[in-house]
Amino acid sequence: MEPRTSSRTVTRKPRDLRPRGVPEFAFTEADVRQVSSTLGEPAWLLERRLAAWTRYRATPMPTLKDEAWRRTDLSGFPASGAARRPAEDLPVDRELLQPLTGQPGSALMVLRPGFAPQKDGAADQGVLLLDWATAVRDHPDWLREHLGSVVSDGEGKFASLAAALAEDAVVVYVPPGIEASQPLHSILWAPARQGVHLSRVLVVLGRGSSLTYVHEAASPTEAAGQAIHAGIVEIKLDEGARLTFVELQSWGEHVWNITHERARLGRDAALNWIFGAVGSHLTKNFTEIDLAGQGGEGRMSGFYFADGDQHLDHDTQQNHLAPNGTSDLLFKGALLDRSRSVWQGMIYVAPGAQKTDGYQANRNLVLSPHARADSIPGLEILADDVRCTHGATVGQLEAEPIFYLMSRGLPRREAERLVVDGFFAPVLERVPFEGVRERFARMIDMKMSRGQ
Amino acid sequence: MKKPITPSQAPAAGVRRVAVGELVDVLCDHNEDGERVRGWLQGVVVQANYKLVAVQFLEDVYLTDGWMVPDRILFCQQGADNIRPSTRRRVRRARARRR
Repeated sequence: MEPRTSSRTVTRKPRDLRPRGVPEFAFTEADVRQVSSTLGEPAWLLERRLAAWTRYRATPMPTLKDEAWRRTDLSGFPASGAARRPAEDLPVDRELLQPLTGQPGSALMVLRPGFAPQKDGAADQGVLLLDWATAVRDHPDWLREHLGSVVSDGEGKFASLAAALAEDAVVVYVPPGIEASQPLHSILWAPARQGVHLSRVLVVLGRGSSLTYVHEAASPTEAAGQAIHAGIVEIKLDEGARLTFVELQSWGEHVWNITHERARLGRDAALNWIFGAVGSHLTKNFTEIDLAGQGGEGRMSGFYFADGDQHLDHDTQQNHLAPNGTSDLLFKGALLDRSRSVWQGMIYVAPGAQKTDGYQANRNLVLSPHARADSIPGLEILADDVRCTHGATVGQLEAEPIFYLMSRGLPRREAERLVVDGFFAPVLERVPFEGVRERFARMIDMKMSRGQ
Repeated sequence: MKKPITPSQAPAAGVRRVAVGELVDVLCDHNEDGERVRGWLQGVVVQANYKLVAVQFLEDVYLTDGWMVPDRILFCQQGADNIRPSTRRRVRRARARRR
């Protein structure tokens, strides 16, 4: 008798990497001129906007063929017909107005596209928290010196777009030697079903100064809408300056959010950069730390939680450009439903950047069989006396701790929630503010309760 | 030596947290007059941190699917709805008679 064999044909569908056309925006040079003239900008600023516009026109829309965009598909990007329009007149979510890092009364600025900026509280003596119009009017020379000095206008398609057409911006300056005791807080609140919002953040800390700054970008979810945000965040720390920067993103789940962010650290400067991302339909975030001066210290702690069909893509780079620099990155994320995350990290050590100490880790918790996390660490080391380590993991909830907690009377939901909390604990421990930790805990609660 | 508290272990404002040695009532399955009921039962907190509380009971307690918890210790989350400070004084169990 012949042995019985079972035959099974496995077919694997090749991934479709053909570049699909990503639609272009319908903006024109006239829009750039109109933005500049409405804001009453000087000639040099208009020239810069026009130069950025030229770069924007010369740069093609990114596709899956571009290395940085290989895992983030913009084929459904709602650019065609999208127009700049004011935000809807909805009051700011009250939770956003809560002070996250300090006592009530510290300086707060709310930017709402199409509306006058709303300011509250007071910053320390000498510390500036300005909206765009005020910075252009009162500090044009300073602005000319620093704007675009960290993130160039030609950094990418969307950086050029933001540089050409951004109308909303936060400008922060701490003069040399000032140690700001009061934290600053800014909120970009842009409720809109459709439309494009473009923003800039510019933070400059003078020599030996210090600051804690929280910037949030948020909007409510509009079920039937599709909106776009593109932004630039530039941070410049002079010698010995210290900044704790908390950046929270809770865009509505109809928003396509693309940002270019970079911090440049001078000699012995220190940056503690904390990210939290739970919103948007799609996020592509380029974040870089340039340790340009000897002995710089950069710490990045990221928290993200996606559900539904959200796609969160964080592209981080730790550039060691001078000796004795330290960088330490930890990004942790959880994924529910059909969501997807991408983390692509790189530690670059330039020739001569000896005694560098670089670390990067990305941990993902996949809570649904349909969710997916891509984690791609990278090292590029061109010096010979360095220590660089990296790690990346993608895992699922373990049955054993859940069972243990359930055997002690906790319902499954609570047990899973506790294990998820435990997963995020290492990154929350790096956050020195109780208010921020509580916000993250509420974000976890919100996502977990939606996932039940 | 006392273990230092890390920032994320600091209690959040607004949540009433219980400590070791406190008497608490926990909403759980237990026996009352020979019948299994779901209700408030007094126990003592034997371990607590910023997130969880372990409560020791004198009577048998059960999981909702019916299993008895052998050491009579249940866990609750700090500030959860199914745990509250006990309003009654300690209930003394009758001493076993000496032989």
